[in-house]
Amino acid sequence: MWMSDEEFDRLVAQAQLMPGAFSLNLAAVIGRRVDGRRGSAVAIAATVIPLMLLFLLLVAVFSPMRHWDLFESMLRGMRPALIGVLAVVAFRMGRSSKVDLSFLWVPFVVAVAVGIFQLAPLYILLLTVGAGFLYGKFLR
Amino acid sequence: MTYLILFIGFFFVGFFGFGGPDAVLAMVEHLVVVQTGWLTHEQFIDLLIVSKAVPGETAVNAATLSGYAAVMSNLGFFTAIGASTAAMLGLAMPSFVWTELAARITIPKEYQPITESIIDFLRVVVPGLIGGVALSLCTPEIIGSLDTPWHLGVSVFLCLFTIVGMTAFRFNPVFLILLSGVAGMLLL
Repeated sequence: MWMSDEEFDRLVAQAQLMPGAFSLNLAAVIGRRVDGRRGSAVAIAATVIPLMLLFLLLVAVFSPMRHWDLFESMLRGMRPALIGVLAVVAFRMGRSSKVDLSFLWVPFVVAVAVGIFQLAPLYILLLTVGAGFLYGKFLR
Repeated sequence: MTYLILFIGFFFVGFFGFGGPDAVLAMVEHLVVVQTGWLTHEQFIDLLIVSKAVPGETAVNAATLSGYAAVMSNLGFFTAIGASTAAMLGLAMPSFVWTELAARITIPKEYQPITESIIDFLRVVVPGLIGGVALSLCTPEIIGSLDTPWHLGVSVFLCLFTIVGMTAFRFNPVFLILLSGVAGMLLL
């Protein structure tokens, strides 16, 4: 029993607020809660190492297959499906954000800027955070 | 040297990746495809397929795999393992740093509306980022072009098939991707 349900929920919320990958953030904040800085480092390592081992295995299995024609045509079928998945993910997130109709253009402009004009997502995120800061400070 | 670039690049991604896993994914793509040219769009989408299919968070998986693939093609197996470790360390380090910072700093009550409006703004922008990733992956090599009408037609069909399957029938995305893979074996 490291913590109560409420405290766990609080840590999940904190991990979601922090920048970066959620699973690593969650490991870090839980580890931090349990055993300070050392706990946080151990928790991150324990999340990361199994993944790396899994990838080693995957790469060893799949890299010889890369040149098979059948494998290539399977990938060619999977690629458009993944684009479809990404589109659905984007759409669902947009809908759950309950965006005001007058701001509906924003995600589309961002998509074109990133997808076609190759603008760095970093700048867009920093701009968004800056704009959110100013809005919350002066207009809300 | 490659290790250092990988580490710093992914450190930036982790440190400034406001807006959750999907924002991180967009940043990873920009880093490995646009900024450094380590991978082509085609290679990147293959990594995404694997990242989606194996357990764990897609963005983290993609980061590790990109680190690996970035040097695999020209430097060989063991260097590539080191590279994927460097990428993963770069991505994981900011989580550690931010946790430390968050434990030391408490946000005063009067800043509550500011954090809330930042989150609201991000929730509008992040779907655009992930849509941008989808858009950037629609290259002729991946979905086919008018010169290869059969490839283009099958791609459009499989893309719509996945969208309908996920929205109308609530199928698992990995299942739909596998099904499309079978269709690809038969048709492409």
